[in-house]
Amino acid sequence: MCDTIINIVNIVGKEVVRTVVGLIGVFIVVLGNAIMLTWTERKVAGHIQRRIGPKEVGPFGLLQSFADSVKLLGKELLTPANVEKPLYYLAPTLIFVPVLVTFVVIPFDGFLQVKDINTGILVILAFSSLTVLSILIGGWGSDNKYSLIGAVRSVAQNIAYEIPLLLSLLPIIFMANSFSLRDIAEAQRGVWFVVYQPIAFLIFFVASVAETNRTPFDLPEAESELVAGFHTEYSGMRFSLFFLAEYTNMFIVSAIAVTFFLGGYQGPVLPGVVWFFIKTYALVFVLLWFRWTFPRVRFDQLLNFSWKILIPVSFLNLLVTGGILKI
Amino acid sequence: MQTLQEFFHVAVFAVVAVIFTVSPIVIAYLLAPRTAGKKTFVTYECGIEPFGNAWIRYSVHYYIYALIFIAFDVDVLYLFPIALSYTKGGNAFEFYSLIVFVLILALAIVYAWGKGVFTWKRKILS
Amino acid sequence: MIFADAIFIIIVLVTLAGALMTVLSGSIIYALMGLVTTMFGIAGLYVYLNAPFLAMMQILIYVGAISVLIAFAIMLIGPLYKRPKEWSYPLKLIAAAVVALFSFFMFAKVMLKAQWAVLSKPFAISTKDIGRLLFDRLTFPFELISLLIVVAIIGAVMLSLYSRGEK
Repeated sequence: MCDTIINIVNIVGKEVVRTVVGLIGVFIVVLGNAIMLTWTERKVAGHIQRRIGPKEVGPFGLLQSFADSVKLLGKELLTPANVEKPLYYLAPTLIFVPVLVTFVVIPFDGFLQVKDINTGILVILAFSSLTVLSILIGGWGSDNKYSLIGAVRSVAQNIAYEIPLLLSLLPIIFMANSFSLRDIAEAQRGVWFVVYQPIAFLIFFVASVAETNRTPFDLPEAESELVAGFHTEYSGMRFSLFFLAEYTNMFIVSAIAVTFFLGGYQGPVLPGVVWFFIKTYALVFVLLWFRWTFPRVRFDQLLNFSWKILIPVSFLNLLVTGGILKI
Repeated sequence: MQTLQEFFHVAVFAVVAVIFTVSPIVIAYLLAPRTAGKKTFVTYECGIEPFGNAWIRYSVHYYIYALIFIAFDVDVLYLFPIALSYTKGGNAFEFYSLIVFVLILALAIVYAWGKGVFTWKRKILS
Repeated sequence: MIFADAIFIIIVLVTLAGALMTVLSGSIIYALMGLVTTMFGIAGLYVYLNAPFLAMMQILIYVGAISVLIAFAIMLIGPLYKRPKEWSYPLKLIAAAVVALFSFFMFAKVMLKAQWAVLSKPFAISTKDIGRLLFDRLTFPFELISLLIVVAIIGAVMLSLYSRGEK
């Protein structure tokens, strides 16, 4: 009896330490990523358009994001009079749950991972469906036409691109025979999966651009027609929570792409964490590049591109993969 | 026991996410100024008074897309365990059953395409 | 194992709270939120029963897909944002009570009748085993699922097209 109790305390204690350390690490990554990306996005945008971008605050404008975050913290918490209050308050909270849960399973290195869950990729996919729900709640709660139209568009887009996303990850699972992200990264010790699965990689990348509502698929927040989409009525700190979630989502989709297709933390000479971040930010840079290169597509084009091209192609890709594995 | 151990982390992270989003709002609540203008609390609509109800009816298009989505989501549910135990080399039977499954499913897209679900008609004639 | 019991009770309470919210809330949107809570509770129960694959699929399908479908259905109907409580009519209340009591007694009878076997070792069928089973023993049902889904899609598309007045 006494032994079992000590045993349980031992196990629970170990797991608690793991979680606490993991949480601290994840918070450093999330906040650091957001601070860095806001600056990078503006700087990249500036240079692509032959401007300079932020340069006043600190050297090269590096402290711009800190100034912005302090400003946002001091903004008035405005709740419009006729919003549906419980829904309106719930949305920014709910959008953050999947963001943080995803970090549990992402392997930054062979051992730098909060917990390697056996059904790892399923946890990410399942919890990301909360994002859709949160956007819907935000749109519904705001009692604003732009919010509602933005929310509906966003949800339709998210569900249209979730199928190709799942179908492009399936060939990798066919090859690695595991859901665990660490196993999948380890399976690429020799050759990266992008070599075997270039089409799946392209489909995954396109679908994840759509899932994060980035240009050219940013219809849910198309400034010229919908003001700011589903978060039109959110301001100050609540807006910045949506903002933080969006930037973290960019990091997450890139990290998943790296883990599944680009060898994860594998690489010569440098330690695994460094490789992981180099690869991830290379993909994030491509996402930023997209935004200032491609014009926005029309909404029916957006939906039908997924159903008419991406899904049939990814089904074919799946069949070819299945066939080749049998040879 | 192992599953519970694994999902313990998921639960903790979810709870911390909720706490994390509440705390900056509390800080902002304490720090931020408050105004009481006449039109401050009106929802935004291009600078005019909000016109009518925000809640309007939406096209049936969205509903059909959601229906097709559910069907494909369910099929992916069955492809996941298949993917996990798909063996390399030999046992070509697995491949045949995969082909049959996917081809039958492809009929759904063919049907929806042929019926014109994916073509949006012009509602306003120019 | 008081610890395990506490987890179980928390999960069940969340599930029940969601279910009650679904039934009792006056607004259809809050009912949807309650449904989502219930689905998370059920997923928690699956995790508790050592079936993480089922749990994740529960969330993926019900929270990610079914609730979106319900949401679009709500938006299709139109302004139903704030509606009066349904059960203010006595006739409806009586009907609801009859249905609830009937199903309660039926479930109670079935549950009391059944012989619940106690497993000697913990239930442990991995997702891999499910996949093997689908390949080796349940091949025909596996293909039938695909056919079923296609029939469902065709039916849904046909119904919605007819309602638009096209053929």
